[in-house]
Amino acid sequence: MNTEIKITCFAGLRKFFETQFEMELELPTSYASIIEKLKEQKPEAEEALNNCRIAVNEQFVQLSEQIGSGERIYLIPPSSGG
Amino acid sequence: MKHIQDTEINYIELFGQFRNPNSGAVVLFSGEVRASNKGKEVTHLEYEAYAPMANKLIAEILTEATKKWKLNDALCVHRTGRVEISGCAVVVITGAAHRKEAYAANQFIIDRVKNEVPIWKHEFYADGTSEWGQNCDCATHKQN
Repeated sequence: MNTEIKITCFAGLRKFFETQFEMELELPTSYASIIEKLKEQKPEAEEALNNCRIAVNEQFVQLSEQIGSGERIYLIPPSSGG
Repeated sequence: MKHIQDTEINYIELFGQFRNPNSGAVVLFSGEVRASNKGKEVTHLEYEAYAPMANKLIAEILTEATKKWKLNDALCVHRTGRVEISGCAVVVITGAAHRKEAYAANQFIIDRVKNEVPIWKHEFYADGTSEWGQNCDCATHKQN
């Protein structure tokens, strides 16, 4: 089954990607596949992507977990508040 | 949002809310913008946040600290948007019966906020360049 997911980027990731964009994925697959697909699209973003976490519904998820259909994904770079 | 705001933080007014007959100690930490970093002259900072999640995580950190150190009151507000040199980027206030708990809880809160909450600092330099900041060891953020 194919699904289209909406991805939101923050901070330094916007050097490489639009703030919001969509990606089509074949389910079942894990969150790690989003990162891998983005690395293929933008090899220069590999280091930034390797340091990212993914949040869904305002909670961090493990990259090994399965993506839900039509989920909204937030790519979270390392925090630098304060 | 309660813990994230895009306007100036008035920490004097916030501190006034911490008058409490059960608190023998009130500690206020203000994270302020330095004029230089890594040998470069800084003109200002801009903060970005994933605000709903940042707000929620800060609330959770405050609840955890309040339980752990039996605080009477705890508060944390972080800025988004442009913050000038010497401006307040984040404030943490803790009130407890004794100073040991108030200090320890305050440090715990700011450390957790800096390392875990989705807020990002964009530093702008006098030479016209800019850079997104990093606070922590990225290894701590890697997921499996």
